Amino acid sequence: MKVLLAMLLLVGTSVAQEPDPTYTFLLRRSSFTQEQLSDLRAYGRAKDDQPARITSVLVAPNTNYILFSVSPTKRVERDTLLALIGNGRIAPVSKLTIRSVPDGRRGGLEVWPEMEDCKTSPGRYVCLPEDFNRDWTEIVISSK
Amino acid sequence: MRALILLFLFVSPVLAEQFSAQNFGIIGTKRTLVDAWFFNEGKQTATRGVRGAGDLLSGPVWITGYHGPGLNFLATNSRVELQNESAFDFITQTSTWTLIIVYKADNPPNGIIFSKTNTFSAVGFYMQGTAAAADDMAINFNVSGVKKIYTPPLTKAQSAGKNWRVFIFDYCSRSNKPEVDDVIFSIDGVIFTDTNDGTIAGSIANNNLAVISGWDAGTSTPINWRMDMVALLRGDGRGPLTTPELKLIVDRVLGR
Repeated sequence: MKVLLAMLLLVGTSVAQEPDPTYTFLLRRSSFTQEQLSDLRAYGRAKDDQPARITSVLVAPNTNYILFSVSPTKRVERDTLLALIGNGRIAPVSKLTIRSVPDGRRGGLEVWPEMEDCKTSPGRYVCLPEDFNRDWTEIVISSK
Repeated sequence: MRALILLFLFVSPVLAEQFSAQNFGIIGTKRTLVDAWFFNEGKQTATRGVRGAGDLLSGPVWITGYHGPGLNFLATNSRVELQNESAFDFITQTSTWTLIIVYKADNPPNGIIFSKTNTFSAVGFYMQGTAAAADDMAINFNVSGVKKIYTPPLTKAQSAGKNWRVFIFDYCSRSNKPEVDDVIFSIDGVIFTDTNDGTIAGSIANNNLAVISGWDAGTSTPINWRMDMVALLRGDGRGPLTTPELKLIVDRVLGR
């Protein structure tokens, strides 16, 4: 089932010829070594006119979680991400697609983003976990 | 001919910036410009303010704005982190300041609009659409973990729509006048909803970067607004803006 979802998620983009969608994944830090995280960070693009397409890694207040956003540019990157989804090590949170059409009234392009996430496509994307924003350094453990 | 000149003046991003770059250019001497961001770059990972730069992080998207390009804050935690931190230290519970945003919202606000808390810090000052205020616009002061929420009577129905709008938050020692487009919803009242009984004392200056959009405490919900410009002005005890002054701001930033 996970593989099917992954196929829909990543392979489906090539069928629809969508313009460079950006995927955001939820990573559990304990599932990755620092070296593996560094490898992932090198995926996708380091530069782009649209900052949304640039690979980013965001450590949540709950440091068990990492949000990883990437616009895969190579087949090997897509394959690796598919495998990680398939074995449950990363979970897709959202897909951002930047669309544009010529703007006849103003000239240039009319540009807008579209987002798919757990609200628009609950079966394909996961919501952020409830404890995503829990800062463990602020938790006080008491014997009372 | 005059109409053409006016049209050029306000459609041209460069002239629009010059117009607002003057200290007292936008509403006379009652407010001093702190900084303004026009998001006219249309690409790049940083945006240039009149005084300081901001970094675009976690996926703001360059879009077609009202005056030239704008930014869409649709992605989770998408934000602009403003680098000149000390420029915003004047924002306190008792100071006078005015926030102006030209925006378009498909849905009611449900995330951070402007904050001085840095990313992931719940302590400080932030303005957001918030569930605690039944999705109305609210302003939060959170000092040392004690939170107060001031809820301007700007409902979700009034804050979203198909058109570009101007949001003005004129904060003057706990009285404010939220305005969307040229409809004023409150002159001098604040609906006060209090999540704690205690009174907050002390400064909210927490030496963190100010942020446009960004992290919503507890949910990471994005603001999902399209913004064409953001400006911040300070009043330094010069009193609240009058209704005609608010209307003047709206007319000027919309180029009317």
